Amino acid sequence: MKQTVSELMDGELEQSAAARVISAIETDPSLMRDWNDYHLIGDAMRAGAKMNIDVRAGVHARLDIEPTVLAPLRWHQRVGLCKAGAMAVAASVSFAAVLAWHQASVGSRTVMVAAHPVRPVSRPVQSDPDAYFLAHQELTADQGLVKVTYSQGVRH
Amino acid sequence: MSDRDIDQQLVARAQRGEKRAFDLLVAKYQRRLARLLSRFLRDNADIEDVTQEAFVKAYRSLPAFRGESAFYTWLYRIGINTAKNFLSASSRKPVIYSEVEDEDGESFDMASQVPDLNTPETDLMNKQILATVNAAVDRLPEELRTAISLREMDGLSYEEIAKVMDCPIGTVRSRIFRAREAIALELRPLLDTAKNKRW
Amino acid sequence: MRTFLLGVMLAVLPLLALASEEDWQWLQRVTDAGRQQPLSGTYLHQMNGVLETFHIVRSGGAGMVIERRVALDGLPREIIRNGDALTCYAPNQKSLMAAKISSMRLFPVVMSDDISDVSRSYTLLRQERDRVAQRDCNWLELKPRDPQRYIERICADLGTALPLKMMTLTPRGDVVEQYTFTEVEFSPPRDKNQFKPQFKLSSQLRNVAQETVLAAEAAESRIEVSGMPVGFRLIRSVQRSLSGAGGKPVHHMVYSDGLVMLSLFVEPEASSDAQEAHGMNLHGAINMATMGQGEHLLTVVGDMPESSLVLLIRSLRVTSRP
Repeated sequence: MKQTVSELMDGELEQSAAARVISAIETDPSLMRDWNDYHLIGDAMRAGAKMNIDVRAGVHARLDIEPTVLAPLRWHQRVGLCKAGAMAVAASVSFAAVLAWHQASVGSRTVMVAAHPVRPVSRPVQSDPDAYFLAHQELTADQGLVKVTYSQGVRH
Repeated sequence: MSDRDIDQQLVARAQRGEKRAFDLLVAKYQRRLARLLSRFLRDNADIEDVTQEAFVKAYRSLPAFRGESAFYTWLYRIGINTAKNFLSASSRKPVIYSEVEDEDGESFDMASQVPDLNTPETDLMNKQILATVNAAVDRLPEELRTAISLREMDGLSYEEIAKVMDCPIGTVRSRIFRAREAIALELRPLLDTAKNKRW
Repeated sequence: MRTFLLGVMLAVLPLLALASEEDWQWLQRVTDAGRQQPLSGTYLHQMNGVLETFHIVRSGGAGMVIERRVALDGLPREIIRNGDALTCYAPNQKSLMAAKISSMRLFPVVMSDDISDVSRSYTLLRQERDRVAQRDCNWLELKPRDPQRYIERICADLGTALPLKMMTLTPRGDVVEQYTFTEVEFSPPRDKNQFKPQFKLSSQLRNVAQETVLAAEAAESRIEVSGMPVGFRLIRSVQRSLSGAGGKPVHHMVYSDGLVMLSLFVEPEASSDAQEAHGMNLHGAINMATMGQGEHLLTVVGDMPESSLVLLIRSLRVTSRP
């Protein structure tokens, strides 16, 4: 198996064999290590790289919390659907705590805003509202920079 | 399949939602990208941060990558942009100074600032890894050393190497693999201790 | 660019009795200034019965805007923009969360660049003169055709078109959120250090990729949504997990009518508990509504009145294609 990692990186496998090996690397940490080390060796031999750098863990951790990107023409079945039940409570800081701060810092100035306190939720919400807010914000905050292109195919 | 084809396959898989495919691209290109960025950033921690950031940005922008250029070229551009943003936001000066610095110090033409400098290798670990690999290559049996050199230094395909070395392709496959394994064996203790240190 | 936009607007907009081309041009200027005008100033933000002050500095250079906002009240936090990148800084997790909330709306940015779609859902009224932060300005009102959405009023500086005051009102005329400059200079500070963060903990807000995912993705998606109010277009559609360990995957779609940003989350949910729609205020002008529908759990989040979101979610029909 290890030898196929070596062959894969040299582009010497045909497409379906390559696909199998890629899958194997993705699921076997020792093969992933081989993939990294073999490339490291090549980089060192060519002396065109900074050797003492390893951001794999950092990038992997960041990608774990990124929304999965999907490119238009290559959409396939959703990968890795989790069958778990209700969501775990989200961020360590709850809205209640932050809003308590909010309410505590009302100034002495006359506030023209219609007071709109947060109502206790009468029914259990399936997931922590924080999580939805953060997700909403991720994609919509700073909307001034969203370059939007519309197409006719959109259903409403 | 060529090198570009492999990248294309990995990108396609990542675009389908397979994040782990992107991990392979990171492993493959991180050192080269870091080298590029070290031309603009002096501090090791900065290089590491910006390299990581560039990969994350590349991942986010994957839907926009259509394969007109090589993945690595596209990654390079993102890397440079990331470094540029980073430098503007922080007080750090770029490694390369222009003759005439404009008043704001903000705009500097990145493209023209990339000579092939021999940046001083102040990093011991970097030197050690290079030295270890080179020493290990030198210690290889001749046929393994030839095979791996033709592959990595000259970029020959297995078929071409087979012709040069006058042996079957299967032998080339095996020699290159064994060369890599032998070098890796000598390298791994160093890499493992390195993991426990701050660079 | 502006001439082109004007050309597009002229071609696209029907003759409006209330707003002239000049008025839309003015709105475009206001939008641009809101995003790019270099400045140094202090503004107040009011919402949920709370008042906060922020200091803002901004320098613009050839499409590369750099700015920094620092909260002067409440939890310490700052928000720094560097071109396309937006980052929150704070000394601890709690403040960082507050920073994220503050960065939902980045006054004086009032809306997205592309205002050509706004006319679909809003009428534009140019109103009276006023004086804010010791500067003469002019009020603009964006009134939604759909009485369920918020009204936006913006008072913009006569000289630079920079928004000096912005109010979000319910259909009944109650102010739910408000921003006002108390003092502003139209040039960036000389001292570059004013743009640097002082806090250690940071969180980069997502940079929206320049090319957003288009209808092709929606077409290939297995989720079909109907019943969105007129004027809302799908601008983004991703498969993701919500933050928090073990989050299950949800389909997150973003719609916009040019002003409002609305997120729709669709999750698989077998339970029939939450079949009735219920809403809740999240934060200032931003509300949320949830409803179970068959095998789906729907959640909408956006800057629309709570009651409107509840009505909206009730009229949605979401189906999965096999």
